[in-house]
Amino acid sequence: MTAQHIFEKACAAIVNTTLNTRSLHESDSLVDDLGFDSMRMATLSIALETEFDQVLLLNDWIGAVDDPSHLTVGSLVSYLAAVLSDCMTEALEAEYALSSVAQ
Amino acid sequence: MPFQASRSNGTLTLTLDSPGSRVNVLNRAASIQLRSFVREACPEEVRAIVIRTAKKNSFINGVGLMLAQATKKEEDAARFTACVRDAYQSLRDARVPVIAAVQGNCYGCGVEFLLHCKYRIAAETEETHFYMTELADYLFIPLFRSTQYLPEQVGLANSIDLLLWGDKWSAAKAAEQGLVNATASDEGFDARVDRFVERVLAGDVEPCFPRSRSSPESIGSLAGAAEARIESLPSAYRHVYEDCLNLLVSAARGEGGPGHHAREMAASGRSAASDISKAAFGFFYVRQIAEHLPALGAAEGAPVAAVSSAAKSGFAADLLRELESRIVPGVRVVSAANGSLPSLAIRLTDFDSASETCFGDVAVALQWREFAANPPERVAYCPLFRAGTRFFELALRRSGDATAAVFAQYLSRAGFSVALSRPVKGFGLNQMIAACLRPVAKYLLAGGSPALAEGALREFGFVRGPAWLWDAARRGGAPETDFSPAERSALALLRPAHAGDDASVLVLADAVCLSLLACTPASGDAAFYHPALADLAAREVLDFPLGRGSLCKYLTRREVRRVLQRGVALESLVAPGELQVAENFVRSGREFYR
Repeated sequence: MTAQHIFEKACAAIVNTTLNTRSLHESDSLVDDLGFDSMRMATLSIALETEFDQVLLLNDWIGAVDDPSHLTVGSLVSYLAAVLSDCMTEALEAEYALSSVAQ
Repeated sequence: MPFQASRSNGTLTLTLDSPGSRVNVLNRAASIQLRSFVREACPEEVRAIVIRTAKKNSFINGVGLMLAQATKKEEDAARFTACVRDAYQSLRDARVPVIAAVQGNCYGCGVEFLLHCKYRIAAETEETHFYMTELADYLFIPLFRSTQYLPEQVGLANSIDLLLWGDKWSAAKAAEQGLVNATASDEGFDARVDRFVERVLAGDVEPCFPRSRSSPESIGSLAGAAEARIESLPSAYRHVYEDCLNLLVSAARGEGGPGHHAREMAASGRSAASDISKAAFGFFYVRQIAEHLPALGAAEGAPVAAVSSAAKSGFAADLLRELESRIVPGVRVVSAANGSLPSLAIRLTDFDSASETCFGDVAVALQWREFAANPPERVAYCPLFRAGTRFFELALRRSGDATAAVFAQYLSRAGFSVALSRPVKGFGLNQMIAACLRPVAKYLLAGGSPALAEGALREFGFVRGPAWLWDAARRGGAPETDFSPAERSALALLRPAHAGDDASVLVLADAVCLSLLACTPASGDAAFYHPALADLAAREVLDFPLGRGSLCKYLTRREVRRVLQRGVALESLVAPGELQVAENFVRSGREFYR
């Protein structure tokens, strides 16, 4: 999945969560610019699960910043890219493990 | 904007309505707005300020968990919360009386908000309750002066119950203990608030502060009892509880003063930055996901208007009686089905009379039952009801069940916790309780010490311990098909004991966790089909440790691989089928959460 694809899916989830119709930018802060609080972050988790078919709790992402204002669309996309890369590796490992068992 | 202001007859009413959220959160924007309104209110123009909510289910549910989550060091707490503290202080310094009219949840920082308002009135609904979430749910110390103002306003004993032990108070209890001045029925609440304001302005209502309630003798004895209870907690939790108790005792002794808040903030920052607190924050998101799941995939439906049952005895009648005592605005609870029920009514029937169940009914079971071969469409299952647990497994035959969605929403408003399941081989809760207790029984049958078993699981973080769980299951009617006579005899030896970290039994906690893995989506037979549902059930019913985050968050493939390496000691405590699930999970499963 390309970074652009992740960005589009993340934006779709954010729009779904906030009903925000304005276009989103990587520098937008979810807290300061889009009015996110912890409850809405939880709702975003659910929307992201629909987009990516993976439960994404986001608390590691939230806990990693020095200030909640730094939780930007761009940082979310980077976080998702790293997570999805791990998922891909894990899926390949699982496939390999299953094929080894079958042999 | 979060607050809407209106003026009538010299009263400034500030109504909080957090945009786009189903509950109110006093975030930065709301805090700035509040402070501005309150500071500008001068006695020449405003007789009183009334704080209200536009959401009847929520007065204030929090200030922003993200602030606590982002806290990495002691001083962060003060830095992140300056704006909110200013808003709170403005309430305390207001030049006109500030009156909080509470409808809906008043949680954590919401209670602290209240402590800054001089006069308070609360609606008599089930959703209107008062709960300090900080320590009970997130293992950190609050930071908006509750450690000082609670002892000053409701006494040390109440403060300990609220803050340390997570007691939830109804509006009636809050009034009885002086947290609010008065209560009023939800019907006609607006008019009653107006009358309350007039009484305040006429000087007929005593302010909620300042007050001093604890004698020096009682402070010593209350502190001693709390210290003894803290000793029974897992060692990782004790320091945060001790810090919080010290703050409460200091305030009760009248040593509050300006330095108290600085000490509270420092303690809050330290605790919020700890690993156990960081893990506990994660459970907030898990709970929200689990509570959203009933609505997903179900057709959009109107809220339930009535709950009824024709049964005069049995589970349905028992539940209906309990529901009658829980006032949820807009929902009637009627004890006999009749022609006058609205179309959006849910009828409760008894699980044991499932043949009488119609398509739109909810079958109720409040004691241990096996999932029937031809089960009802939906079952509200609470096997530990008699032990005081108010967690329902809502077992469904199919997904996208709109009736289940609205019933789950109603139960939640009535103060119950609910997780959906789709049983394959049995109720999820039966599987979970058995998975938790069977390794303990095997350990005891092999000659293990009951005290060490109890201590090991408590030290791991199961604060209620296996003795409580077995007693609750036994009282719930757990049958011999799930626990053999030998297992029952062994489990009966368990007694509450202090947490202990005897290395010889640490394998027991690992065995319990591994056994529980088979109750999660890692197993094809698990009733809880989403990790958040398994996590909610494990937390609510088994008391799965907060400091570990949640069951599925804790059970990463790496963790399960580590546990499996324990070899024979583990294999003697875990069933072969459960070991197989764990091995498959490590080999070819995928992580529950990212």
